[in-house]
Amino acid sequence: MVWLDYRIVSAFEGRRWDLPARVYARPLELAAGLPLSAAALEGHLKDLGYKAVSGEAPRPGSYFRRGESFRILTRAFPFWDGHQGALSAQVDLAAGAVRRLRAADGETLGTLRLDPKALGTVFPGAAEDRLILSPEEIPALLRAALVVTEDRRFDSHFGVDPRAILRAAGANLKAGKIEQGGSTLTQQLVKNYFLTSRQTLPRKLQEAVMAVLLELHYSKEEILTAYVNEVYLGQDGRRAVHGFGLGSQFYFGKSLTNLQTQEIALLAAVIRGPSWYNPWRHPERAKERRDRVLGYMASAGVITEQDAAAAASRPLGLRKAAAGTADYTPAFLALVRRQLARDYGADDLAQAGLMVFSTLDPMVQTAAEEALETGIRSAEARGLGSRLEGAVVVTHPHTGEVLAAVGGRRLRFDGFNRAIDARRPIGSLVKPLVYLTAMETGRYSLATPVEDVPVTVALDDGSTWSPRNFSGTPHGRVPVVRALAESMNLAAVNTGLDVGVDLVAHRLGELTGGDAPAPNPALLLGAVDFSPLNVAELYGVLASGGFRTPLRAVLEVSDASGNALERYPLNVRAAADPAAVDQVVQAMQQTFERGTAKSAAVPPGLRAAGKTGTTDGGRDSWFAGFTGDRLAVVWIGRDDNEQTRLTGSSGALPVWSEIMTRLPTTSLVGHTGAEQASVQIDYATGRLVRAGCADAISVRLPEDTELEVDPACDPGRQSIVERGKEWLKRLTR
Amino acid sequence: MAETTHTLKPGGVWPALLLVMLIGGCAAPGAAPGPQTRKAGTVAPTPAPETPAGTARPVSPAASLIDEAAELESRGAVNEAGSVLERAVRLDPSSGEAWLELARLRARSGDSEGAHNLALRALNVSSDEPGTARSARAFIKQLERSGR
Repeated sequence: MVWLDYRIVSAFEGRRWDLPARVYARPLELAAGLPLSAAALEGHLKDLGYKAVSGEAPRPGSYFRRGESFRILTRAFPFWDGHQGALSAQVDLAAGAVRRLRAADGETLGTLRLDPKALGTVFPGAAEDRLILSPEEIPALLRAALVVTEDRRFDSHFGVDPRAILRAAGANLKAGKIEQGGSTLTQQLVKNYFLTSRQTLPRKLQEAVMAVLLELHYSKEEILTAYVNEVYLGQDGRRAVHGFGLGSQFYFGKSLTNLQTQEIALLAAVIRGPSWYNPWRHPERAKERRDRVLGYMASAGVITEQDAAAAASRPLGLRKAAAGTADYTPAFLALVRRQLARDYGADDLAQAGLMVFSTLDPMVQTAAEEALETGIRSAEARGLGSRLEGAVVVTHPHTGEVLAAVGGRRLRFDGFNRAIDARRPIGSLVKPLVYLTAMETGRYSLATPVEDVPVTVALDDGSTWSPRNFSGTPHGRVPVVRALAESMNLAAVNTGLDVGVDLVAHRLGELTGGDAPAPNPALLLGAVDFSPLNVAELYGVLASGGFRTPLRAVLEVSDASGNALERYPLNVRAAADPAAVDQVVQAMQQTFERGTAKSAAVPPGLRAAGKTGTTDGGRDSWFAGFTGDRLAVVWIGRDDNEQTRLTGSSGALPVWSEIMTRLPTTSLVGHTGAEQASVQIDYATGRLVRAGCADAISVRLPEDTELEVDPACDPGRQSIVERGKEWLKRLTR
Repeated sequence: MAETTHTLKPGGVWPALLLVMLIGGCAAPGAAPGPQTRKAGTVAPTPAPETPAGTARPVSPAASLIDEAAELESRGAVNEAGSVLERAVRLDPSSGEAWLELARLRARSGDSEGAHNLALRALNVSSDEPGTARSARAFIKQLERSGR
């Protein structure tokens, strides 16, 4: 008896205090000018479990929307940089951006930070996951539903319910086997703690004794809260879903506070047998049980008969099994675990109740997941390949924050994580680095003519290497800007050989923060294996003006009471010549204007820069690119490395474009901090021209860049006709 | 409408251009008759089409966070101030001021190497904030003098 008492109390206390580290998404911070649509804001508020109310927003976690204006009452939250109380604010949006932020008293607010979304727990050992709820977070309707369906006399019994046992025993005798349990909620909790489904008599007796002991030590509310957080509700791949907090997200993709009557009834229904009543696999069986629960609730007076009938007429309302919420993001959580593993042991993560503030942006994660799935399905439908897989990494290139990571098509599968672990040849994604290295020597600019002509390289092993262009045709002399925008192989190889493969390899090592790859000539066409995450870090240097920013998935860690423990500060390191980076980025913008990403369906007016990558036999389809505030890397290919008919433009690029279209983002701004000249050059020859003459494109170049002048379009001279036009333009301005 | 003459660009660029061409010609006497070259910086600037018309830099959303960070630091909450400045950088990565304040805070906490890199970043994004660019340059010099 003493032994049983010890076991049950330590199990209960253990669970109560063994809080696995809880991971939070990055909070949405609003500020005037921030691109954001009303639909996106409302979607995010709902995702956070905010309730829509009419009129004033009366309690924390609610909002009132009228057109493009929102009145929001945020929830208090212990942020790492200080406790933030509940705030009442008025948010006015217009034309897809935040127009104005005001406090309740009408005073302008600089920023408004919402509370962050809880993502789940880091579970290094056990594959159990849960979102712990406090007693106040448990809806009264859920409590009532549990009591009427599972344990009617919960509030009066002492841990076991003899009447329920007698009733069950009678039924079991009649059936000749054990069919009914008659277990109280307390007994079920005990059973959950010791995870056994064997229903032998001694086991049942032991359970009953423990239940009584539990009731002697703890109040009904403590027991009910433990039950709500403990009960097994379903299986999500390798992850066991425990507790109603996570169960609500798992089945409906929304928080418990936002569930409707029939949804609460379904949760109360599945606890009897999460796989028997699996609503995706057995919808009719689940609905029948749900409606029976609704009936119990009505007859006990928890809801009215009309409400029960109305609720029973509604569909199950499950989230789509494959896509939907960004609540369980194993690919991202793997990054979180990896970063935390440097500072915390498995025990800390499992027990210390740490609060982990991650960089995940739920909107970005959802967009990335859906875009990848749509893109792969479309590529397969177009006959470009079968059994395709993919990965996406999205970052904020200036801060090195990983905003989203998708490790494959099976989103909730915590297995092979292509975002981190799939190291594949990067193909033409290497070319910007080849030209960057060339420009850093001071001998090349965007306008420098390079030779896109056949070349044969003698290799160390005595063989030779003769690369070809993707199209098969050499283009002759072309300026760097065109060679890069149109991804010409021969030009890249000739340039790389001129500046030295060793130097390119050395720079690649420096800019990825890893070892320099072997300096084989084929490196100049991307014969080097990187994961999408590596590529994101590498391209981050280009996206942030030549500064290397190590990627982070975790910003801060607090203890269970909200005290700051650890911070992973933003570090940048000047790693590349800003003027060279600016030129390479301009060529990568031309990729969208005239080059290999011309087909991209990006929002009109959005300035972006990027690069396609395709490897031999279409084994890898890459696109890496960035706007002013987001960088995304997309890879599509097959796990078995078989050939496909994909190219970077046909496979990965549409996914990239879809992500950038769905998300609010800002245009790329060129910065170098150095004096630059804005001139026009001919896209075909790289020669200096005047605007409107030849195939002029506008570029920024260092002031000392030596440019060949196109005699026919010399900016120093203008034809009579052009001069006349210019004059007229000025008159009419 | 002062310019009704043949002047192409405002500000008397013609004489400058001619001068440059003359100097360019004089500097390489007897050079082989090849294609004529010119330095990009000597060409009359064409207004870059991608520059949004008539933009004075609007008040940065980072501004209020920069104030908040200063307030936190004055109370000795240095780490918290750093966290708030990073929020500023996240909201407006083009704000040279936010980067520069982050650099200064880093220097005050003794990490002059990190501060130097952050200040370079501030300078890098400050092309439309001349005041910030000047401060960033001065700060970088100061760090370099103190042998970071």
